[in-house]
Amino acid sequence: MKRHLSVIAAMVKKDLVGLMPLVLITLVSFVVVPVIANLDLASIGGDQGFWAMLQGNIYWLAFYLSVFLMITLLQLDPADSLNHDWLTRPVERKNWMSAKLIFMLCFIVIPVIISRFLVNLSAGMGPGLAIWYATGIESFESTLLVPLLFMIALLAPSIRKFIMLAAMVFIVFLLPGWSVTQPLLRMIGIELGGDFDSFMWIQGTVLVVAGLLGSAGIYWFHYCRRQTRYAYTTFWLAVAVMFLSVYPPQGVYNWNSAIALNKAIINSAEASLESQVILEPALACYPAARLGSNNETEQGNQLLTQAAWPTAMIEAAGSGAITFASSVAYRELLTEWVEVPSSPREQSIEWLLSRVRTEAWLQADSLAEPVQLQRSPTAENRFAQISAIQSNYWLLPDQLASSLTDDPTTELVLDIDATLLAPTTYELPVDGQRHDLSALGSCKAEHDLAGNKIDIECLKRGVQPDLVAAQFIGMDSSRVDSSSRAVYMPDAIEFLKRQRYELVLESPSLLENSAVLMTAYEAERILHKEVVTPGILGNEPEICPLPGTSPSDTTLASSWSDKSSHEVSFISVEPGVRLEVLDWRRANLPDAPTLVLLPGLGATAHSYDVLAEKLAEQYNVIGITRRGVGDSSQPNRGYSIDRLSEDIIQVMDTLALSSAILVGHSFGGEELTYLGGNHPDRVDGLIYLDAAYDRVSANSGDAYKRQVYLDRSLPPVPPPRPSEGVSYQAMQHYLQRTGRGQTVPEGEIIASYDLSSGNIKHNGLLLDALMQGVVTPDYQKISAPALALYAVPSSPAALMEAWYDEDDPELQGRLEEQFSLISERRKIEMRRFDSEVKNSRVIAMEDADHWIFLSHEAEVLQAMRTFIDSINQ
Amino acid sequence: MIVETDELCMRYGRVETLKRINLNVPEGSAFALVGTNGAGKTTTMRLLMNILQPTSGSARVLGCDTRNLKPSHFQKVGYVSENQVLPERLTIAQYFDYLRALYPNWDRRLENSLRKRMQLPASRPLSKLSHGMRMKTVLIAGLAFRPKLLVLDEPLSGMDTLTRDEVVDGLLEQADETTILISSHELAEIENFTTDIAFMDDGNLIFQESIETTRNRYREVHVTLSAQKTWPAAGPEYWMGHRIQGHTLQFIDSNYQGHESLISQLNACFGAVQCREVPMSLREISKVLIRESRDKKQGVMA
Repeated sequence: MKRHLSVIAAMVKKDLVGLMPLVLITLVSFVVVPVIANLDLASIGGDQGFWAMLQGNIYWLAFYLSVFLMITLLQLDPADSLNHDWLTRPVERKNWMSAKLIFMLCFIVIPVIISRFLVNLSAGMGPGLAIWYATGIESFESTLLVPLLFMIALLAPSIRKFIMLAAMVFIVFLLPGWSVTQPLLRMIGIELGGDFDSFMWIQGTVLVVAGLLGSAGIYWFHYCRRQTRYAYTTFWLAVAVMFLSVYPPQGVYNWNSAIALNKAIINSAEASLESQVILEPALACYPAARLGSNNETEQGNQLLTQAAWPTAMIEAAGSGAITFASSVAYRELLTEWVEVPSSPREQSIEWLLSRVRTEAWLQADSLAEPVQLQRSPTAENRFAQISAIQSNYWLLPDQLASSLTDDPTTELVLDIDATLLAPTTYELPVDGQRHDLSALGSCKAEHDLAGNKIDIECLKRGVQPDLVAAQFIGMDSSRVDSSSRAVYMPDAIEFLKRQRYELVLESPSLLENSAVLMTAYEAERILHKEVVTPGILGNEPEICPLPGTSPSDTTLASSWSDKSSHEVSFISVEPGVRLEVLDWRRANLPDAPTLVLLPGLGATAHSYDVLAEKLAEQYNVIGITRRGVGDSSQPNRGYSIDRLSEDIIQVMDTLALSSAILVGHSFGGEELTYLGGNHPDRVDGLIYLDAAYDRVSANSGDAYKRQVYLDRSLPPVPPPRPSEGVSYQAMQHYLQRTGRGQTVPEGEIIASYDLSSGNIKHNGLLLDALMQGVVTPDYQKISAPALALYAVPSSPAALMEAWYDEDDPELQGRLEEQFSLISERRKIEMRRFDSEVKNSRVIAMEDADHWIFLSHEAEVLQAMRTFIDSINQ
Repeated sequence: MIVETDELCMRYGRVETLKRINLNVPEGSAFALVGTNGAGKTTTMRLLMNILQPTSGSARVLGCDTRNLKPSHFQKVGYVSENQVLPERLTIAQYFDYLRALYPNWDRRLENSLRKRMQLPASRPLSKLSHGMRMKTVLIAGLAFRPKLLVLDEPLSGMDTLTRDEVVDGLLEQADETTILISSHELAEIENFTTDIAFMDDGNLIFQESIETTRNRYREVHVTLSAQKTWPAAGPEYWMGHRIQGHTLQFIDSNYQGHESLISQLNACFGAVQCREVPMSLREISKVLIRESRDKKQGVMA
């Protein structure tokens, strides 16, 4: 043993002396890396671009220097040489290998760890944590590239030979890119473009194991047995295995086997999660466009741009082929609730569904077997953030399309495999300090005032989350993910891993953020779901015609117009912030009371386009669209309730209104209560249109959580068909079809709705910011007379929507529960308003819609007039 | 036999560099491998050291097939070649420190005395050594662990006379206890201690025998002919390099077996003659062999 040690020590010493200059340069690079990485770019002069480039690439320098050191070290004593002195010296090969490994440990691995340790220390970690986080394998390069380079270095006696071999391997891996080799690849069953992104670990593992086994084999044959030929055979075998793991033949490894294997690892026998996720089409008809023909509509051209088909696929599909984008929404009933110390209420965190694979099949009686459609592998959205609606772009050959349009049995089947991700959420203070968030490792959030962003960095050692996300508290729309899809890897493989996650949250100025929410997602289950729709584009051809076959799509750019008799003006309330103000005032009412109308959340002053015209006969009426919505400015700050109220005062000042009666729908109640309490001199009266709620307590507690669950479990309103978006009349048809009597004014639909999906089109982030600004109402401070109208359901049946299945007992049970929750809530709110507001009047309108002034316009007008009269007496 | 080869062949593609070599190096001998450049001496030695593997046939060193030579064998075998790649950045002292750790039987005193005698500058890096110093260094590195077998590939080429003498002296000291296999075309210098000789030519082993046999076998023969004669067509093959000038004939007998036998052979060819045999030095013998093989090759080409 002692002999072995002294031989090893002698070899290490010999190599150290022999490689001294290179060792020194490498060590210096390890020292320089943390120094450069920690440079405060702002504080140093010179070319900022250069420093930033250096900072971004300095890791590479150290990495390649250490790789070069590793290669040179092995080549000092090559196995394959005619005249290296060491070959005739009595050096046991295991001693040789030990010496080389110890050398690498001492002069590459340990210095790297020390270097990282210093970086961690300077980043504010404690010494213990800093050393723990300094170990571990970080990058793709080191895990995948190093075994390969190690193999080549063992094999090649000189750097020239090394470069030659490396170049050959490089060319081998480039081969699939050459079109001439593609028929060859197809012969062995390799299909390019099959990206197993989420399950890369399988291929990565094969790659690493091949590299390690290859290295061991080369060492054995080359050094221990001096069988050069076998060593080379081993090398190319390992390269072949690596190649096949990067480009797996379909027969060996394909989506089905990848999914099956990962399912076997991830999924538990308990399948109840499956039913907690519901997938349904997000659009009534999937948008489609014909390739090649100059598409008539801008929408069609946009679709083709988004699909971004590779030329080869377009050519293969032939002229006249159709591209369509399936759009599937998911909802899940698994929402987690987390206590957040810095927030008064619990926060809901959704489980996510990360796409794995989507396939589209067309089946029909006239087809012998289902036909699979090709999916665009290069679509613009392929790196999009995981979201509740996922689109895929498909190619439909013209012939197939025309043969199926007349077959009423045609169905489009979307086969969706996706990973269901369970969240674990932490609150991370934005203080520039490191915090230990177990599943996420050591995290730090720093406020970058100049850039108006929050830089978040987490360093995790060991088992990694499959996805990391950050968001502002209460603002789901602000969520940013660490990657565009969850990357699953079994824990057993990850124990050596070390990974850094860097996320940026933009516009923290929207809210006061002393903390952000960090979520670690873990794959809980791989789901398979089918979404089957009649016809090709989501419904029968009469409803969803193929492009170019119906006259209606040319008229899609339609005849919408805002016909309300208001004047639109913009009033500046703050530098750079202008609000849209609608003015229905008539010159003939100089002494009539003035009404200021405030819309609900996600709506504009156009909500009142109809009501206001009627009010304007008697009163001076203006409407204000609050900041962040519609045509008003969308600044990145100022969404607190006091600022929003200040905006209203500013508008009143500009219009020289000393005081007015404020009317608020829904969220507008927030401003009403605040102004009533804090600016009594400007408020003559307050009219709450289903608006007087305590949104702080209403949005927390078990009842609220149950309410959220029930809302989610009920089917959402079906999206409008393309023909229903053509005009206001058509839209009314849609509303009738979906059993909703009241009609949002045309101006409001133009201002707030996306006609293709029927969804609100405002910036969700700003709506979240507004919602986060709600405060507990202080009704007692209100001195002005106040009228509160409440929409109250009279029975569970009133909650039954046209698109619900009336005969579903489970659904009925939910409605009953929902009814009791709503009634209870209303009762509490009404009682509170009545008792706390000094001069209050409360009216409950049975079976009214939340848009109470639309569904019960006459009653509302009547109540308002009576109330206004009572003030003016 | 400390080294023996059995039909050892080495081929690079179509070029056969060794053709069925059967070499036997007796233990304790100082065995000289002689031949022109390209005769196959270096290849043979590399095969013996398992630096190369034979295409066919086999070789045994210290009783072990060369393909299976273990580090334990190399503890007893020294190998010195003129173009060895050394850890160049090491100083001489560091190089010996390194080697010392590898050999359990390293003789520190021998090392020191040899280094002292050959005046090697301890702190000079190997890369900065002159050719002579470098060869001295590797030679000491090959001697200091008192190997049973020392394989020296052209150790003396390119050395000035003084250095050569020093090296040879060093070798002489070892000659008793170590079997030395040395390749060289500088035969004069190793003549003193060589016990055996093998001659290689164009991948063939022409002969191997003890140095005494060789010395006895070769004679430069000066003949005075009775009349002007021509070289007989049926002259023995082992008479080489003949020159006839008038009545004098000069040739080299490579199979000399005494005056009587030579005279009778001469008589048979030339009738009555007078002859005088001059013993040859190893250097002269090797010259003759080399010339002979060159002539043969040219003959084949012509």
